[in-house]
Amino acid sequence: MEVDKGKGEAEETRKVAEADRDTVTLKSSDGKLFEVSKEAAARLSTVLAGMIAGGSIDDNGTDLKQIGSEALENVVDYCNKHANSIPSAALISSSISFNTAPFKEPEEWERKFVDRLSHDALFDLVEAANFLGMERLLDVTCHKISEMMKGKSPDQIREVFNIKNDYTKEELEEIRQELAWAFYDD
Amino acid sequence: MDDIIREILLRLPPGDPACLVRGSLVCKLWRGLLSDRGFLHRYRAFHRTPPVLGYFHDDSDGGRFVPLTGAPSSIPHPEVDWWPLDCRHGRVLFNTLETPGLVVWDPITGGRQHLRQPMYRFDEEYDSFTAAVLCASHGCDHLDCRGGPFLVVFAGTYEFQYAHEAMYADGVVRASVYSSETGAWSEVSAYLYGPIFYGCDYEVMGSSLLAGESLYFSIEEDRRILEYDLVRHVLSVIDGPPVYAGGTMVLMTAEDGGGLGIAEVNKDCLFLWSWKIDPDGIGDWERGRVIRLGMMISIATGSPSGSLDLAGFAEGAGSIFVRAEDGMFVVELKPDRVRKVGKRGDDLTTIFPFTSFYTPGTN
Repeated sequence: MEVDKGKGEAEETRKVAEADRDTVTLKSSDGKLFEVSKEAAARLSTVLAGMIAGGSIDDNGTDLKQIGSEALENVVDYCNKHANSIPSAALISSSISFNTAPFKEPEEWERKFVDRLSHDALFDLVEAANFLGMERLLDVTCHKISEMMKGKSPDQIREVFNIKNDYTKEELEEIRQELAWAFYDD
Repeated sequence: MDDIIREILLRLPPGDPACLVRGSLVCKLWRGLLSDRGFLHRYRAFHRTPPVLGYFHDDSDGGRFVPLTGAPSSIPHPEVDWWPLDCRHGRVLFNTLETPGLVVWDPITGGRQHLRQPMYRFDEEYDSFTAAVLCASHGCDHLDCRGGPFLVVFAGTYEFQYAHEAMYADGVVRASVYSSETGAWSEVSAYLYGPIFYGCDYEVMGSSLLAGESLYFSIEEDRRILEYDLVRHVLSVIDGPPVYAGGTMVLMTAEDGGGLGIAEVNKDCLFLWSWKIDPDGIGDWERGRVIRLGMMISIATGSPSGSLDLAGFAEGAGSIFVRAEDGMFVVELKPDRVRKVGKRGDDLTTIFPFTSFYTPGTN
């Protein structure tokens, strides 16, 4: 930048530079700040993409009041890891036509990413992914949770999801008899 | 939260229907979600390929159903003297001895339709025959076409002897198609086949493969293959690939291009072939991959595989059924995986893998 440029021009240049920044700052419900690659955020989250395009990103930290710091850290971690892995055409297209797209297995790093999460962290992350419209992350986390249901009895599944049984004993027995084959070997 | 639950339930594996059923017992909300039509439609579209729930095979008094792990054993056995001929698009086709006739059966809903079997001439039966069933809807993705219109393609051989030359016999193959929409059999297409080779322990006419616009039937244990063009209604015959003696084969969807292919097992290796047609219209067999099957089975079970024998192929799922020393195995291709699915079963009987989605709302 040349020395004799006016203040107004310098201000203008600063604004352009900020718009050109390649990260965005997100703020969790408990006030912690996280930096995330703008390209990855826009590509992976429909909500963040909308905010970036609409200019409603706050440089001092965009408030995401619905997301706690642990979940947001995982979201940001996922985005940054994704930015470093080569985005395949299949991944992008699956995030666009999510509702009808056929199932695509999580990649190895995605599997490891969700495997290391605690039970609560995983469920918080699903909610964050759903809130932010992150189809691929929702895909990966939901897949992990559905795998946790494998081989479990209805009782054990209720425990995992913290769900109250609202069937009467008689109703349960009736359905059970109808579908006895599903209860052979668990 | 309902949205998220729906997303999670959507990802339950179709190959383990018991999991879906247990899910519906968690609470009333889940039962509602799992039997919602919109959800089930999305579930099938999401998983795309219906899983192999099990297979039908001949037993002493008719067909039997053998469920794979996690699949509903509530699929009933067929009735006595119903002999399986084919499974496709959620339907099973049997030969029934009384009448004689055919029956198309939906094992999940129990729906059935009896057909009269075509005769060679008046009340004279074919020497050997086979038949295939398929969905008749154009552009159908076959994710949920049960109950819709179907076709049955029947192909039979008949051998006649020339009066002047008692030692010489010629065979003719004839085919016709039944449409459930018209309720009638089509005109017969015929092919003068030449002498028919009879083995001692198998049927002349074998199982079928649907690839592109054609149905292929294995004849003379894949020494030759009968092609029925579903669009032009024309029969033709293709010689099987050049193979070593002693191996067994099944028709399969070719790995490259999805056309006609053959899997052949020899000693402990699986050889894949595909039928290629050059720009001049001349077809030839091209040898594809060789898979060290015996080794894969030994690793999976921790014991030697023994002699291997191919039992069947599941279209769509693309899996090959193999009999080994201590059980029935399914070989999935790309990535190559092998898993034990049950007991070995009777030697040399063909099996007919049954693929379908089975969700709590299916009934």
